[in-house]
Amino acid sequence: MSNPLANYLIVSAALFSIGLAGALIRRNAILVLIGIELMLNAANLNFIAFWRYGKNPQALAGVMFVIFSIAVAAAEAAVGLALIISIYRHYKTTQVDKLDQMRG
Amino acid sequence: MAGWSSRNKYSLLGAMRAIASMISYEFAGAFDNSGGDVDGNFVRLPALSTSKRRFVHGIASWNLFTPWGLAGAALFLVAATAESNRTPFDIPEAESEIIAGYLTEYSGFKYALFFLGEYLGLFALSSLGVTLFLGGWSAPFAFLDWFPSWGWFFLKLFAMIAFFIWTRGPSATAQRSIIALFVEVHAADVPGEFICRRTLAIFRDLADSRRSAAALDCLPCVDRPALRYPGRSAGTERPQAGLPLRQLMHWSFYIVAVLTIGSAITAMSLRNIVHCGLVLTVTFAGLALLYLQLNAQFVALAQILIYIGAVAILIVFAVLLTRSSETTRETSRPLSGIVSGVVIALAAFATLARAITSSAVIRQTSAAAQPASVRQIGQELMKNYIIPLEIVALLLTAALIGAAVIALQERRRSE
Repeated sequence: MSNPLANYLIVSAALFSIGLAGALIRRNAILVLIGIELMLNAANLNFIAFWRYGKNPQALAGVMFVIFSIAVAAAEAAVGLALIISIYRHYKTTQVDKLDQMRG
Repeated sequence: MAGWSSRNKYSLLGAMRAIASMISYEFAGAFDNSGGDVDGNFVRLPALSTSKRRFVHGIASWNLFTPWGLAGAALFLVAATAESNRTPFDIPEAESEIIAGYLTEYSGFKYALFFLGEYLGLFALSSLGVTLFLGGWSAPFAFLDWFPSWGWFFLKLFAMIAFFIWTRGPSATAQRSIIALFVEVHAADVPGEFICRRTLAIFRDLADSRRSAAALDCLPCVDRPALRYPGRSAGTERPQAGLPLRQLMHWSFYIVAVLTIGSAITAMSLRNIVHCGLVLTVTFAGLALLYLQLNAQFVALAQILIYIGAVAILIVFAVLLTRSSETTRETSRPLSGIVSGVVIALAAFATLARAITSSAVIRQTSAAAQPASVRQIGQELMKNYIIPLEIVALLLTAALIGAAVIALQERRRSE
């Protein structure tokens, strides 16, 4: 294809949609977290692609943003998984549908 | 420590053996490494490989092909095998003598953790060996120089690890006395070898002063792949760049993209959650390859390290920790839920794709970015982005503590 940037953006959009679908459909909390991670990764891919084909590639802003984003995502995954494990210890389940104590 | 605390005489024996062999082989290994970089380049590993990235008659002049390099490499192999407790030298956990050494009382998940550590150590040692003796990321022959440098490094790393794993099969466990003998011989022989090499190196340096100039040019691998992807971006600048290479890059893009998306779909649709976590690593690796194609090597490495090394492993651990009583197979949602989720996702994809294809900004894709070198990134991080960096560091620390507190809370309550 003639347009490399569009290719990367399409891949990223596909990843985002897959992550969205996963986060919406799956019932296991870990898989919901994986879906969110996929969406984050899609956003990172967008940043890199726009940095690479952008007007000012010397600025490195895209790379910086992705580096910070990866760091924050690591923290998020650690806290999220710790929460899931804690919830599992408490309720003996990781199915998000069954955690309906606050339902009125 | 693990052996001591498990109150088992086999474990204690194994732990003592582990400490003894670790000390002796750390010593041998450290001397050997210093022998490897004796040719005037200090301990800077990148510089080390740089000085070797030249070709003599079309064959790379790696450290391995010099006499002292060969001796050092053999020594390194022995030391690395012993240090990673692989079979010929697996005294700490010799199955035939003491049941499993300090691992005797550890089973299941804890055993897996021990072995994860051992294999991580094996990977680190192998990459050190590749850098020291196999010329790092340089190609073995001049005519193979077109292949990306990171590809070479991973190929060599793979070969080295395969070597370590395959030697496990045919070799028997050595006797403990033989090991002790080995240690003594090496301990006696290494310093002498070291001195010999140093004098040799001084002579060579006198004869060849270009090396120091080459060594100053640190971290060239970051800049090199720019030359390797002419077809991707710099097509306008370098029209003479071969069409086959461009097509190759295109095809590799499509292959990687299909791999990434396919594995993402698989990860989201498999029923067994453990498999989902494992397939997810393929997705992350595919993304790292895409970053490499986009000339963002540092981000690709960060992706591999953090996502594959940390996040995917964390996810697999979390899956294993949370599945003890219930089955991993989740009960399926009603069909209407699945359909509505897929419809929402497809709608999002359609909107995004339409926005992408119809956007005017995207049409003008001409920029041929310089690849971001690690040095540039570091300078930017320390200059313009110092405050965000500190904040992220704080955040990471807080997240670490928070995760530990959350995960340990329940246990404390139950005690």
